[in-house]
Amino acid sequence: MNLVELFNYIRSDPLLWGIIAATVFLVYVFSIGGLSIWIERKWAGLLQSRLGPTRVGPFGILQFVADLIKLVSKEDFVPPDGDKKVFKLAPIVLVSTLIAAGSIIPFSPSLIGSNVNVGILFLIAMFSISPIAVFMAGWGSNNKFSLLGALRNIGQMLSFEIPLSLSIVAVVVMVGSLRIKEIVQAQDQIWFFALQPLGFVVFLLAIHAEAGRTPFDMQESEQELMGGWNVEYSGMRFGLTMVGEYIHLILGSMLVVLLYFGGWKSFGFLPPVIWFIIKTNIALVILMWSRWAIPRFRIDQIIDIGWKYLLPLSILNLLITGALVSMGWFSWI
Amino acid sequence: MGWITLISSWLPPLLFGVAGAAICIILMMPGKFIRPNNPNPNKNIPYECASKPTMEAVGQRSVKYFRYAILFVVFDVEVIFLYAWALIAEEIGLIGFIELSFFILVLLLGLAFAWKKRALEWG
Repeated sequence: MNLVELFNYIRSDPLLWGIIAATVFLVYVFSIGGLSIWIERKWAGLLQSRLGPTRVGPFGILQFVADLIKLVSKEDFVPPDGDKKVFKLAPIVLVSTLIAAGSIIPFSPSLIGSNVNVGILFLIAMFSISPIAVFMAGWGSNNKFSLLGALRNIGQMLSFEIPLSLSIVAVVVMVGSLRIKEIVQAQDQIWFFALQPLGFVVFLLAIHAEAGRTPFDMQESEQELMGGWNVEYSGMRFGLTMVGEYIHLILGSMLVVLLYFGGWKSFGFLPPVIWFIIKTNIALVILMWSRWAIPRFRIDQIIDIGWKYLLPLSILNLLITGALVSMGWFSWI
Repeated sequence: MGWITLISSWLPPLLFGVAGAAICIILMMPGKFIRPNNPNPNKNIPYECASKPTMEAVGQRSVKYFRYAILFVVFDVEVIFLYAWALIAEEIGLIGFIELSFFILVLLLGLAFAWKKRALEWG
């Protein structure tokens, strides 16, 4: 049996394929997550005229291994007055729902966990579970800072969820399908950021807020809330909340690439998977950039941006797109 | 859609979720053997700027958050309807789009009302 036959055999069995794809995806996400912590710290160092991590390994690249060892060996604290079950369950809910969302990300035409018919809607649904996990953490901690951070997180998520979904609807209108694979295949001739400039800007801002990145990282503003909703977490539990945030960020950058920058569509000379990974990592670095370049907004400013600017803009974008599609201008896609 | 297709397309997402939960538990495991465990009554007090906490953490919270939550429900339901329209927008053409614009117009009126009633003001 050669490799292609073996791949097709695995692909045809959903159970076997699910297990293998989940393992590969986990390994990929965790290695990119570990690497992106190093990239973020080096990138921050570059932007702030300092060196960043240098001690562990060449150029400090093994820093995340040292962090991992530190996290594993820390005491595990569970607040005795809090809701212990909820407290322990929160990181697991956060990570597992986000990993489940990763199952519909197509790395290439054939490398996709499952090409479900509701595609992007499932991804949005899984994204909306993460504020619930954050609230579980805030509620279970029995700490005012945690609860405030969790409430702010929910307020922010609710404000940016609608512009995010509306700018995705504008893409779906042009393609006529919710399957992410077909959305990418529709970008054969032109990438959608050129056809949807307004939607792209709204989406980019909203995905910053979704992933809880500065300038919208209200839920963990270190200076006022001491770290926000995960302040009572320690050791590996804290590590898991950070893992959840990084997976959120990685999925967000994948979504930017899939919806607006042609997914695995390439310029040749490399396989599609490699192109997708390269584009995703460029998007990841650009998403990290804003954290070190733009100061944090206040909570009222964030909510204003969501409701008073992005929501009307995304409705305008949808109306324009809808009118053009209904008149048949985009039938060539 | 038959049961077989349904299960075969939704089994991988389920397995991904299970794998995500499993990796959390696996990552938690090795720490059990090496981490210290020194409980202390002072350590159990909720962390609050070095002073003793004055009230319960779970108390009254600002109504603002609930106001936005209610607005969110209105618009989120709108978005779900929009997904249904988006899939067949090209087939139903301009008539469908005009009907949809009335739907959006009503919701925009709702937004304008909320805006005018200062429901979108934080302070």
